[in-house]
Amino acid sequence: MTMKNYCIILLTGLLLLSGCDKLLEVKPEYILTGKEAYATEATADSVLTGLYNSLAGAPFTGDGFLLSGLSADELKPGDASFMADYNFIYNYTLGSQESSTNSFWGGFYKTIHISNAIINGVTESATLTDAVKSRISGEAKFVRALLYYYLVNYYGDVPIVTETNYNVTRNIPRMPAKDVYAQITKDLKEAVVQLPDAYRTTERTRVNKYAAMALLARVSLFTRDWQTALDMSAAVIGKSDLYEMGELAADTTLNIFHSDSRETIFQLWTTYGVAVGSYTLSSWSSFAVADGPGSILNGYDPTDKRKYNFIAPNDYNGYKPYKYRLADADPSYKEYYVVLRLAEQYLIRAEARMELGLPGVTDDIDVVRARAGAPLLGNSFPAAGYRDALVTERRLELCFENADRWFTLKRTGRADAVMSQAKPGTWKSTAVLYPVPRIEIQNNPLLKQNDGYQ
Amino acid sequence: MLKTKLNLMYQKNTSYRSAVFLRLVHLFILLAVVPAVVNAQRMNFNARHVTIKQLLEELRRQNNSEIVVSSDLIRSTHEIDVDVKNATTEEVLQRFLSRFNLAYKVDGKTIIITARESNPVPPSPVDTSKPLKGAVSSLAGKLESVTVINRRTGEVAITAANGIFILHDAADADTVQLTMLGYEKLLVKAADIRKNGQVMMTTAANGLDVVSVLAYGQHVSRRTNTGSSVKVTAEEIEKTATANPILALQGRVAGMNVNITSGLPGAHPKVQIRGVNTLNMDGRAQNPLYIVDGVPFPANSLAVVSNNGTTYSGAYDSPLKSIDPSSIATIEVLKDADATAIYGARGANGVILITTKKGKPGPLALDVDVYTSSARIAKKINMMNTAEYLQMRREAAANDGITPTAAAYPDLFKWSQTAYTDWQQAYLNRSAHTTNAEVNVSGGTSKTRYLVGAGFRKEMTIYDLKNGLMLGNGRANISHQSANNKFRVSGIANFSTDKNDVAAINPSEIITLPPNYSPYNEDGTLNWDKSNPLATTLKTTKNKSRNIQLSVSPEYWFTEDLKGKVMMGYSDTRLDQTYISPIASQNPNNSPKGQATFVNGSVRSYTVEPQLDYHHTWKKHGLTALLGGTYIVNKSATSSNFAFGFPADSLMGDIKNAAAIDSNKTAAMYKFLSGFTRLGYNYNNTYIVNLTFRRDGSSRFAPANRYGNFWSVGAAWVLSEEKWVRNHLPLFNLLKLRGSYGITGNDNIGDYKYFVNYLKTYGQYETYGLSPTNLFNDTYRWEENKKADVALETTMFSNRLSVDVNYYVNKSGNQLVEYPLGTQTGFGSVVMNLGAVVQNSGWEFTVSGTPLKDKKLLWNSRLNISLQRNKLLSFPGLANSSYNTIYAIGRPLSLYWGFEFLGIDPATGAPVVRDQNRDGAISYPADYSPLMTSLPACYGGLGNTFNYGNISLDVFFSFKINRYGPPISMPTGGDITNMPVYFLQRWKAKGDETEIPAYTTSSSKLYGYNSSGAIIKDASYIRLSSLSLSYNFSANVLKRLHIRSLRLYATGNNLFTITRYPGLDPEAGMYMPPLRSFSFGLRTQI
Repeated sequence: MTMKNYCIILLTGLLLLSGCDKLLEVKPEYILTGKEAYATEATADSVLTGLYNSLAGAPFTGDGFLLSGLSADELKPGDASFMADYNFIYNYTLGSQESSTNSFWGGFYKTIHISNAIINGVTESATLTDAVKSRISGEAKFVRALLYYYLVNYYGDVPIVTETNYNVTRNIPRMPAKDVYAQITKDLKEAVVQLPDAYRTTERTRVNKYAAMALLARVSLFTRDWQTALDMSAAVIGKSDLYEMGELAADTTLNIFHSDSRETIFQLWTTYGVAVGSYTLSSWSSFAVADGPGSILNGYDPTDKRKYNFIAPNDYNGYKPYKYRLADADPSYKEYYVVLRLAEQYLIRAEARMELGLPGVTDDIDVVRARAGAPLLGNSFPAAGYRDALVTERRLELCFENADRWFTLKRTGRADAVMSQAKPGTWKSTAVLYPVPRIEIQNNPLLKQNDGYQ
Repeated sequence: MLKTKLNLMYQKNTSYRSAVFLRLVHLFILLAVVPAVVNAQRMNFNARHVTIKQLLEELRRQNNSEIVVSSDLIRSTHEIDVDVKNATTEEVLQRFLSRFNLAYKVDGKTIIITARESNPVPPSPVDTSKPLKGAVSSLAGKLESVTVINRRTGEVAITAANGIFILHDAADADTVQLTMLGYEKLLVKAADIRKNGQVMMTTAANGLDVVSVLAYGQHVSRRTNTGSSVKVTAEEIEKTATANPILALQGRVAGMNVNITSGLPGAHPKVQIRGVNTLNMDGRAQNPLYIVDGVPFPANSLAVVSNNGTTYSGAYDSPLKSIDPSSIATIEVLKDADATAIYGARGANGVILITTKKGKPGPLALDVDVYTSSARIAKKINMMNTAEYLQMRREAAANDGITPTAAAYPDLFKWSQTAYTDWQQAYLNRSAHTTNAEVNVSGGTSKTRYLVGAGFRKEMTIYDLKNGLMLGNGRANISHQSANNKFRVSGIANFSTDKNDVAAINPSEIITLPPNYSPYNEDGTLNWDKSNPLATTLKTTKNKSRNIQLSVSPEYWFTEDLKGKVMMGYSDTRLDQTYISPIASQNPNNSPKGQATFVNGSVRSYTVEPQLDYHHTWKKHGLTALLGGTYIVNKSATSSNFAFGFPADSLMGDIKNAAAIDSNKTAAMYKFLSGFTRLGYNYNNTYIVNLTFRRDGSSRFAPANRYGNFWSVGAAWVLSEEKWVRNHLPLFNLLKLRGSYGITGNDNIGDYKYFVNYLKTYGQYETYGLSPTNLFNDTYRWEENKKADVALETTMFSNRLSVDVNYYVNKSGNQLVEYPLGTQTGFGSVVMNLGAVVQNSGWEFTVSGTPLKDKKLLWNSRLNISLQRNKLLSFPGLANSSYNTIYAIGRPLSLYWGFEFLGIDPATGAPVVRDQNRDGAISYPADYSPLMTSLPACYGGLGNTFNYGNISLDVFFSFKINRYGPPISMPTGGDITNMPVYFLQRWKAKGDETEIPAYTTSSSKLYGYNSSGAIIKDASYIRLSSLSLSYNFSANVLKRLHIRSLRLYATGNNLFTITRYPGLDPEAGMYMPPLRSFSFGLRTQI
């Protein structure tokens, strides 16, 4: 064989060896690729389960109402084990230890990313039926709307991310709050259309049409779209075969936060009950119910059962929230994290009626008060006091829940007045918004910091 | 005269012709086999300017004669004109050989060419034609394949496996010459051999012609190598008596930094060859490639359960522990672009080739190596005594204005105030025993060779007297070649299985126990006044691993110049872990529930490597060409079951009794395909150039970016071959300049990242769901490493001294990293190529020599020093990335960050650190700055071997200079934890000048101290790594015992360390340090 022949063999061999793309194909196991995940209803539902799992993570069962409770006039630091991490939230400073809000901001967007992936994934799926696409997409839009509702209320203007391509999403700046609300409203209106009436699980741990309506009703208070707030809350209240007000009773099984409660519109499933950060409520010493001037501790009428059902003495230092009572996994008793419940819908309808000048404002408030055993406002209650009565009732009924107090104070323009009394010397007007985590600004220089934290 | 000189082509020519003579590769050239009768055929040859080499080749080609000749003899460039017609071989030889000053001899079918003696000694009249029998040995044992030549007659004999040779005709006065690659040439009087029956050869002072194994089994000598590689031989490994072959390399290879992270049995040493190239902080991405007998060896731990014994503190279980060091023939460390290019992407962090011992032709031999060793902890930390400890506790409370209570301070109230236990004496002062045995049976014929062996090791640790590492391994290899020698096949099987049950106790948990503590209550139950380290012994830790490696390599010689070969390899590594934490082992105050973890991990790897190997020589030109391909399929899988909430310990045997079970399965597949070619050109052994080109494909990239093209150039100029050097600088036996440059790729980023992975969620939402785990980016591609290497290699003073100086610069860019992004994208990062550039540069000096050599005493010395600099050259957007407290431009990658420590405030006893941004507050990360690096600026080893008669003494020091850490923080006085005595120097009262803060119960008061440079100590060291004394029994004794060799040895490891580091060990910190061990063993061949 001559040299030339060798050369030919060598070169042919080299080309053959490196030309076979099939040899490099890999088939992953226990992993679905983007497309495969939305190929069947079962897999797409699994991703949806993953979405709820993520939703139930940090923003809610974690720090969610803890941070807002500290920011508002609801909670205060407890004993020495109060983590320095939370100090800056309580004192409205951007200190060096901000890791708790890093994960807070990040937790919202990580979950939003999953919603975006699902909405895009099912839309592009060639195999799912339209009915399935509609339902799954509706659930994902509800979740996305819920998350933006929290983001816009904690941070003000925030980036609106509705797609998954990082080359686009990494450079999105903060968008005006009204655009964020427009996005939320759009998602919820679509979800109301796309979602079925019935719950997919008996425990109301996945959203149905009424959950979307209930959230839209709440969001409409913030956008001052009173008609929508009225329509949506009325529709939910009218669905009496699904929802009814529970009873306030010391017996835990009758607790309105029990997983079987018919007052619940949507709740997040959890394994071991509702924890606050890493503390379960039963062993709570790091935080306590704020006891300063105007404390909720003095807010209840003597006959109001909520005083004992929602708040309890702490073994260590004053009082602790007592809505959730489960300390450990107890198979005989289950408690999940309630996101939407009927009592709030009455208060929303009351507010919408008030703003639209319709009758029945005190009737709706008294539904909530009657259940608590508190004196009724009755028809003679002066209309001039409606606004204050509503803010007060929201506080008494929805304390420690879903940042309601913090958001209501800001929404109704009372934050400055209330907080400068509750925390004189500490409060400042810029504290109504949280600081954008510095790491986020580092990684996306288009983000600008909120006032008061530069 | 017959001093070996190697020619790459020739040596390669020979490696395949005949297995019998494979070992002669270095010395002889066998030009064809199977001659029926010499002279049987007649030849024609008409040519001008014929060198002896060409003449012999022609002879061999036309006549199929087997010709044995020293490569030295045919290096002559003398040329003659030849014109023969129809001549016999013998006629040709008679006519022309004398013109080259050569003689020949026909021995049966073989023609042996020798140098013509100018003054032939006349045969002694008394004892002509007397056969001479002798045995050749070295300190290591019997020497096989030594060439023995009677200088008078030119008769050549080769020693068999037992070292025996027979010369048929030798007079007493004859001079017998013995040569062997890697050994000093020896001239002995035949009479002396008759008298002693034995000849002793000594290792060459230099490794000039020591054959190195290169990629894919190519061989090359130091003389013609263009790449940078270091070889460590069995002889050197044997002197260390370590359990893990990689540990034996510490300090022995310039440019290779071996870090012992733990002294626990089976722990994995961290290896960096020429620094860290990648920003990827996963240690696995920094690992070199390990190849055992041609098959890639998965050196990454499969451990999933991190709190298991061997995996404690990141000291992962090492799959490499399964390779018994005494079964290793050589370890080759390939460093530069030229040496590693052929492995492409996989070799970006360097390549470690491990070759196990193979069978040799000869009668059946039984090799036994047995040793036992006893090890103890080498250092004791001086801790406070009871009075000092109690004072510390009181003072800390008093400083913080706290009044101690019985609940928080049981040691001040409940416990004895006078009891004293030296915990190190009580629990860490025991001996850990190791028994190691290795048996090999080997032998073979010229066509078939085999080796079957088995080994066993039991290695215990000092604190866990029940449990240890038990390891068994077996191996078999066989090679066979066809009658016409054209087809050859070899098969290798290695198997090992081990069980490591060492309890996961961190020695510092024991060391820091208060001196007045009692781990047990009066009723015999565990004392939980503080966390009790002895509780760990009630937990069950089991790591079972299994390792199989198989390979088959058929090869076929199409022509004398062209060989085809396919290596097919399979490796299978498994690790089963069990970790059971019963209620009894947990603090009862925390209402414990039983927990159990069961994990199975496996990696299977299939490798196919076809290759064509061509070489051709004409006149002074040598050409080699290698064309090959690699196809690797790697499958890894883990299956884990975490079972929580067993209500009772007795129910823990069945996982179904758990309240909750979290099961997880992962699997990944990796495929690697590449084609490569290597072209080499050698002009007269003086100018040598090697080019490598390869195209690598990896399944870790999206289809569009799968392939990368990489290349390297290596060149050498052997100045000592030039006439003017030979004439003017005769001092040099070798003077060589060598350099290489090349680009290799790196795909160390993990599998499947280029599409969105939907994986089972960690937590449940009623059931488990699926969740996307990454962002979509299919545009990333190969990381690129550019490596440049220049070296000067010299050998001087008749090979008594050799000095090598090597300089290298490696730059790796296009870094494959998880690039940080704003979380608004859904994730904190995305896999992409980052424009950061990491540079590693350094000098490597290797000196070896024979300072003293006389009849009885031989002193060999070797020293290597590596100066290394690692720095981050650029990193776009570093300040704004999450890497901004990990890396700094211009600084090494392994950086300790922290506050700059300014001292202790004499007024308050509080630590003072620098306020870098001068905002009046000390905060992380604003006031953090890069402090020190853990990478040594200089490291190496110094070895000395003294041979005196049958006794050999080897002393080996290793050192690392200018490195820092691991940090040792100051415990707070609020914890029930004892402290080393140097904390007694704390601030006590106003005005005290000290470097140690006041005692305090508050970790935040110590934050400034414990996050500062004050706790990062200088960890430079010089260590007497091994001291080995051995005795070889003389031939007389061996004859009486009827064995071929017997060596007794005693080795001490880690005998002393000179360091200022206050922890247990400058490398392991406060974790289990490498132990001081003494081994006694014997090695024999029967």
